[in-house]
Amino acid sequence: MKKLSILLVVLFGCVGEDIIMDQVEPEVRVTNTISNLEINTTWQFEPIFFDNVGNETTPNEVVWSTSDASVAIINQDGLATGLDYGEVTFTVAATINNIPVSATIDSDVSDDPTSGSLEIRSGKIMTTSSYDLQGNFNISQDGENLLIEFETNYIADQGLPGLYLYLTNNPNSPAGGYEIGAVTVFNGAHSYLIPNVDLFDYEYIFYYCKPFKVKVGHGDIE
Amino acid sequence: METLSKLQKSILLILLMTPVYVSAGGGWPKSKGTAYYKVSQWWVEAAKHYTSNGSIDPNATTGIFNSSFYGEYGITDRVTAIAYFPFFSRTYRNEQVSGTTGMVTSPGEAVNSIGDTDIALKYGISKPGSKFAFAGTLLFGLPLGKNDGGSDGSLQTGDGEFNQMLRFDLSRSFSIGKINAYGNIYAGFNNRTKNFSDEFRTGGEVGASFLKNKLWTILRVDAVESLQNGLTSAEGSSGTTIFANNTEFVSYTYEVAYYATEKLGVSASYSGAFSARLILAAPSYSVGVFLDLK
Repeated sequence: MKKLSILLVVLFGCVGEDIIMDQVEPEVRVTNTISNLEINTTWQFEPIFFDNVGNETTPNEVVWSTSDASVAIINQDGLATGLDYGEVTFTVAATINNIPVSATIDSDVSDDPTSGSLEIRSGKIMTTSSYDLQGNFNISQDGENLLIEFETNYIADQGLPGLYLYLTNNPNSPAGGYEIGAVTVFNGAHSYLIPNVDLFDYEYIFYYCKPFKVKVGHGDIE
Repeated sequence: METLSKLQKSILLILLMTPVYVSAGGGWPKSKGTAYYKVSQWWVEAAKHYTSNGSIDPNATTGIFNSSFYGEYGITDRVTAIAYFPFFSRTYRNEQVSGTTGMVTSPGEAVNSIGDTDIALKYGISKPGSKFAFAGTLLFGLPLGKNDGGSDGSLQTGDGEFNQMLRFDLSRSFSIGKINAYGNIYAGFNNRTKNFSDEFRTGGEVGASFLKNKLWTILRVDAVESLQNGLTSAEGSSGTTIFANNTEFVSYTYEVAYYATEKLGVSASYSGAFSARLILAAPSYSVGVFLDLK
């Protein structure tokens, strides 16, 4: 029987398994942080929760809190209200994959109109393989779309087949990510306009070789 | 179904083509009416590949298994017909599984078909019985394999292109004491179509016999250099070529052939690479049964 099994493997080759090490820390991310909350107004925070492989998940319980209830309050749906002038920190906490996670938002409460804290994110892509991949990028919101702009120092290896670009929440796997498409520019400045994606939906620019099913490089979106 | 370009589909083609190049009998054409037939199994499985700059990078585990027929037949004392026919070729890629959740993130796939086939004619330029045997071979590569298998079209048992190669072999037999031996060197030019780069091929081998010529041991070195006149891998994203394009390597093969009877024997080989670009980084193996009708 053993000899037969060996013969069958030699003749026909069985499809096996490759294990991908894709664990990440669970995370809660507030996608619409603010740096200023106008006094006597409200702001609805929108959190996204990610599990230990970077996929979006829904925790059983979400707890919102404020550092100073005399300056601002927040209910358990994430609706904040500015009550008095001052500085305040909002915190959202949850448990994902049995690991406690939290995020904080530092904000002033003042007469100024409520405003977001960040409008542009940026980063640098780097190769994690033997193929060339480098360059700086900036990401900004353009209405309902996400604008990704690569700078002139961008280079990608043309010796690599099937290079695809993703937005992901896992630096080791494209699973659950957003596939932007095949890379067609390999040198210099260029941009992508991604429909219906928000500025804080993803944490990584991710380059992946589809035929080999292997990561080529990535950039943290900071 | 998403379809990858041909360029993205195969790192493996050159390996598929290897068996015929290593079995062409050097500078000696078969004598009229004699023949050599071989049925063999050849395989490679790799989780790494040589990159375009010669480094080694990981890839999803991929395998190719070829069951093939190889034959040489002496039409005249100076003209030999040669055929290599992989009548069953299987290529597969492992499924990708999350080490965290155990979920399959990319399913495994396999494709079975016949493989790309070669036919050739060898002409003995030197007279039969010459001290040095010199022959030219014209080979035609027929794309009978499948070049768009799998859900994304990246599994292949062939490249989808015709190629033609002209090759010259110079051989000489000699003795070391009681040991019969031979040496062979060759050079060839492989013209490829459909935006594949042409190739210069060269190599050599030495063989020695033991046990009253029952056991032959062979050491072979092959080199392929791309002329880089086709499309790059990335340019293939528009769908005009395959990844086997611009493959280069310097490889070695150890082969053992044993004549169990005067005509019937078995053989086995092991091949690896000293250096390479754009090809799987793993040894290949073959085992076979041959019939030598002298």
